[in-house]
Amino acid sequence: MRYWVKKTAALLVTLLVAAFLTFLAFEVIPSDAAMTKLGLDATEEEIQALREQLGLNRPLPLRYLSFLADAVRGDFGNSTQYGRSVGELLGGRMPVTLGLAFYSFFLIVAVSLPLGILSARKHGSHGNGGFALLTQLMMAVPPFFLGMILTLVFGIIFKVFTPGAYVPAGEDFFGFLGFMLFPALSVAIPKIGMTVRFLQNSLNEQLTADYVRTAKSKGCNRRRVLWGHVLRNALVPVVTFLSMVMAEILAGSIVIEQVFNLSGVGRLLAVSISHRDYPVVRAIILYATTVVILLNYLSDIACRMLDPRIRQI
Amino acid sequence: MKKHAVLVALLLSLTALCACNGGKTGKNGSDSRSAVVGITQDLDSLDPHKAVAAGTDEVLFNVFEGLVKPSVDGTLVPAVAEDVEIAPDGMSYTFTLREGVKFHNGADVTAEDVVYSIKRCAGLLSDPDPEVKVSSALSVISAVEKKNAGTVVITLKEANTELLGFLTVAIIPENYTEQSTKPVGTGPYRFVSYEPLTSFVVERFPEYYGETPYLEKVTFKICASNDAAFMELLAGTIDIFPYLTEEQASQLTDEYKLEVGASNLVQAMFLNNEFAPFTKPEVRQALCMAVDKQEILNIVAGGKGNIIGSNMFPNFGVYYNKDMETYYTYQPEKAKELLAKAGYNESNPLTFTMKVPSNYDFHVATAQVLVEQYKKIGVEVKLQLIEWPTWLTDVYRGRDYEATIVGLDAALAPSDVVRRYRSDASGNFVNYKSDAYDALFDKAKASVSNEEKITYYKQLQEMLTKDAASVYLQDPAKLVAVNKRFTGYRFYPVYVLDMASIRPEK
Repeated sequence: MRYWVKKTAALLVTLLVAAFLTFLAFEVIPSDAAMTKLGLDATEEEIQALREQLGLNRPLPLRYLSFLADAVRGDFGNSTQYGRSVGELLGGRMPVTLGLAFYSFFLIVAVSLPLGILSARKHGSHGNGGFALLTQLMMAVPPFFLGMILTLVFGIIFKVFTPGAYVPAGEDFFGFLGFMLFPALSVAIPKIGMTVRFLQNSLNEQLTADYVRTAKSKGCNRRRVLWGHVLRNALVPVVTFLSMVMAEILAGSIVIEQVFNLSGVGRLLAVSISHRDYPVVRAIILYATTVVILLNYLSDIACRMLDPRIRQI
Repeated sequence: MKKHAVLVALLLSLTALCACNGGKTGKNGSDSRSAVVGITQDLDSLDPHKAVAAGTDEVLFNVFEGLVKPSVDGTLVPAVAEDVEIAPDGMSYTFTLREGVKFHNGADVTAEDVVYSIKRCAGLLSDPDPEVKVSSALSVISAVEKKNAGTVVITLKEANTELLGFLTVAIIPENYTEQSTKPVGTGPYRFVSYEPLTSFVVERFPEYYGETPYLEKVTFKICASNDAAFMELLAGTIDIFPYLTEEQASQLTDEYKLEVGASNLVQAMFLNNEFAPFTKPEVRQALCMAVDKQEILNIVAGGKGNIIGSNMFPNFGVYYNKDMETYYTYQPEKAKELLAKAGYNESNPLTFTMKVPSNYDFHVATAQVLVEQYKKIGVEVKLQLIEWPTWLTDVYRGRDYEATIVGLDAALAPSDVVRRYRSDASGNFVNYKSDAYDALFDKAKASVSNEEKITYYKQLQEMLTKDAASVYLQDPAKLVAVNKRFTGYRFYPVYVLDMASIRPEK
């Protein structure tokens, strides 16, 4: 119980700090929403008038406090760029980002866990050099490049999918899956390389531990050692790593969204920063912070289930 | 081994899944009267009076009209107004409204709507909305009045015979509050839907007074980047894409034809005339002579585009001073001599920083060529890429820069192109100061005789060139990809994307 109280308090404090840092960051960087909105031809008076209306002229602490007061009630204000409520704007972008995140996470888990286990069992045997090269390559290719290559090969040459033909999952679920496979792959492939490496190392480390020798000497075969004893222990660091991966893709894959022309949270964030659309940027940063912390919890819980020793700490 | 099989099966089934789908999400049928246009910038507002981005005006041109509107040859043609009479002294404009013009919501356009719209853009409403971009050119208006149901009179504070070029501002219904979400105008297309970062959709307006457009539906698809848009073009999801780079143009598939026009921009390396080394005219002149403009065009645009020599572009027709194009030829030796005279040589080289907005690849590429060209005469240029909002604040408003590269556009009035060089102009970010220029500019703007105007404006351009106010480079080529099933794409002397002129290829 105390654990949860502590964790929730930590979440709130982190959110407060994150929101404050966002405010500070926009104090420091040049230009503001009024200036970008009115463009080249505006006079100083016009800019001042708009600043006044947007409330940009109020002192920083005051702005911060009024933001908090509104945020507590779930009101994140209106986007200065789009004139609509931030909630509505973000809500519209969410399905894309969530879809991409869960899809790519599924691919990561579905591919890297079997691969990692397979490669660990083959440790030392032939073919592992080639495998190491493959994972190395997967990690080394930048996602945007991968995205462009996938589009070129599967979209333009083989016409397996039509670039830019995104359909919401609600309209055509299979169409959605078909199109999103490629962005999801672009996100997943580098992460798969990393996860496989991670799992492989973790497994190999465990396989040389004393308890493995004990298990072997009491008559377990290789298979039972791996599935019954080693895997559970080896998964703990991998779960932590995967939770970080999930947090990263849930916060919006800016690059992949650009390449595949998906209007998700990441693209909204990029556009909002360049328009100095503070309310939107703040909301996205708070969302990302929450996601990171919540996933941290989840991975905590998962690790506790996997390894009872952690529960005591 | 079994696991391998499972994996392979999984991947295969996923591929198969989308393979079946590939056929279904096809392109528009060749007989469909709809088109998808790729744009690379999201709209900054749907309210035409609040939009400042050229990329937004370009799209909204299809939905809104002013009293007059630009035509292909650079003249202004009647739109919501049927006729205009400019007082001989240039102090007032009398508009006769066209009968039977309807808004997209079905209401008739009244004189009140016209008065409201002009006042809103000129900042004359008693309760102004600070988000409305007040046009500084319209600030000469002292009053807008309805004379009778079909006549509106605009009175000016001072004589100005070029105001018509700015009266292309959209006519919108009076006191309609949903303009930013459900825009209503009088153009050939009416608004259907808008989804941020996704698309802006319009459909043909059946009650349009003018010629009926062929296309029934136009989707402006907002693409994340130029590359993403080009991929979609190759895949056939986009029919028209107006921002091809030279490299992309050379890779176009058979399904598209390439249309080449002018961007109508003054691309220049603008110099801060108050930055110490640039206060000397011979330094600025040397910088003009050290530039091989043809080489720039060859490298960044495959030789396309139009070299310019002053702050105006060729589509201004009679006002454009073509002689300036060759005023400074490429003379690196002479440039070196001039620099030496100003005290710069190998032991004391001229160095400056060039701030370029990083979102404009074209300007960045131009800057890189310039840096190399200046190196040849021993001038060291430091390239600094900055974000667009930072450019606005630091370079344009703060005038805190040494040199920068950007492209400037203009309304259909010669005064709009060159007015920023008037000493007291708010847009005079180059800090050019010349009393002779100011006097001549005022004369040009107020002149009622067109011959005089032409002479004055040509002289103004000559002054800028001789004083080397900046290093004028080119009016970049505009490369447009159009699906071969369409024809009729038209280039305008202003920044618009006219969809009403698109016809099927027979």
